[in-house]
Amino acid sequence: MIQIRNLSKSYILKGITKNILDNINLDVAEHSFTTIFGPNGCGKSTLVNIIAGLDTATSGSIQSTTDLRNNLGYVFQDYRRSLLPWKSVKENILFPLRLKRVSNVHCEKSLAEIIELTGISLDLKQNVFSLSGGQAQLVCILRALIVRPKLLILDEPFAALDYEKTIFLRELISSISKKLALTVLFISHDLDEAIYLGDQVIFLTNAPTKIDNIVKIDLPFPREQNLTTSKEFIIYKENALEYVKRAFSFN
Amino acid sequence: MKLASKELILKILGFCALPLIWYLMADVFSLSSPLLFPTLKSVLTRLCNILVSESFLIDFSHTVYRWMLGFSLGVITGTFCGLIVGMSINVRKFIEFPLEFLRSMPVTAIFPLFLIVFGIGDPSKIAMAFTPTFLLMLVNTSYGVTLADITRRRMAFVFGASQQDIFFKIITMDALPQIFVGLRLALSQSLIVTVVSEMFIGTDYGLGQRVYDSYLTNSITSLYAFLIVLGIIGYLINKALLMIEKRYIFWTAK
Repeated sequence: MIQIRNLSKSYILKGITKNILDNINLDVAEHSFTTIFGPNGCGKSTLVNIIAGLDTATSGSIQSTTDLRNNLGYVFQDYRRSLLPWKSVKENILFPLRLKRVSNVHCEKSLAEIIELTGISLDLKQNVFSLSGGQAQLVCILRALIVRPKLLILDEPFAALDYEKTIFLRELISSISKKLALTVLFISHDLDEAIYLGDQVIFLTNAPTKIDNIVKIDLPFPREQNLTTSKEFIIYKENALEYVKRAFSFN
Repeated sequence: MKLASKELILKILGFCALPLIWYLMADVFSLSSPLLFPTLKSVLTRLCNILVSESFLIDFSHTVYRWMLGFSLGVITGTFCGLIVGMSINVRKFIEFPLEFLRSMPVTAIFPLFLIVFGIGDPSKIAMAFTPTFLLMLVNTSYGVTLADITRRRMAFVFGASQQDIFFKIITMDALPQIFVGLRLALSQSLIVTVVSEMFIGTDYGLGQRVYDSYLTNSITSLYAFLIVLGIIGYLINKALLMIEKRYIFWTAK
């Protein structure tokens, strides 16, 4: 679905060129769940922002079989600041459809469908500023899904949530992505999370960031939290730790 | 005691404190000269007489007309210019010095300039109310636009928003709380300047002129009564704006 070839990103700061991404080559298959794992500040967000059109690459190309601009859902790391505090939960979820001038009848129908599909229940009339962290992130997830995207990008969506909420949302994202046959790019700096969710895990190095390794995770779906204590999972994790040690000291 | 009722009692006490101190000092203990500090009773009697007099309505409407016209024009033009300045870093850099220079200059000090340009009629007084409003709205609106959340802009872009959508549905909304800060500051500043312009430039009708007349004729009770009227007008308008802010910019208190 997405082919990234020789993608590099650099910028000039005080006359010094700083390389962020260095010759990234990556294939993301349709309906796959790809987790991107790397140290803080290595350029994970820059990579997905380039894919989403929020940033531009210095060189290289991204090719996609679908028009990403109109088939993209994005869940931001800073979920609270991505919500519109002057709108209700319902209007925040419907915001992408309102931008496309979709009729009220169609909006209501899409909302009912996505709530039914995900099984998420929220007080739709509530103001978003009074929501808890977990509920606010659910609004962001529903907002990203209401456009029925082909590609869903999640940029460290659970970084600011407590453990209980994180576990719940991990299982939810995992099941929704398979139910809706989404192609997912999921940024994480939690190794367990990256292995638990992904069909493949991309291990990035420190900046200037390269892909150190791509690991296929052949664990069955649906995945539940007890998978993380299974023998297979631990083997994946032990191997992954070796890549991490190598990747983080790559330079 | 519940927090709400405790708050209410404190507010009532605060409201009564000033008149009570005045009453005790002037009416009960006669601690100062009535020429300097008249009794509360005489001032309130004079206030009632002023409020029911025909001339009060004329003075009041003239002051409010100058104030509101200057204020409204300042709000419209200042907000519009503030949105443009806030959106462009180059315009912001270009305008920084002239804006700071003009802001540092007290409007009341340049009233002779207004006299030369607009004459002694209403236009000069309206222009004086307009000036601080325009500057305050420009600064606060551009500040609000500059501070508009980048994550929300990016979110809107990702979901297919046009530049127009991002400007009207995100940036302007994000700037609203700061625009309201400007509105509240400008409202009181423009009232002050309107009253001062009426006193300095002179007029047939206007509350500022009545304050100055009372001073010139040594009518101290009238002077205090007109000051109370001006205080009440400013207070009520500010309260009304606060209520509008609370109703429409409800998310800022969270």
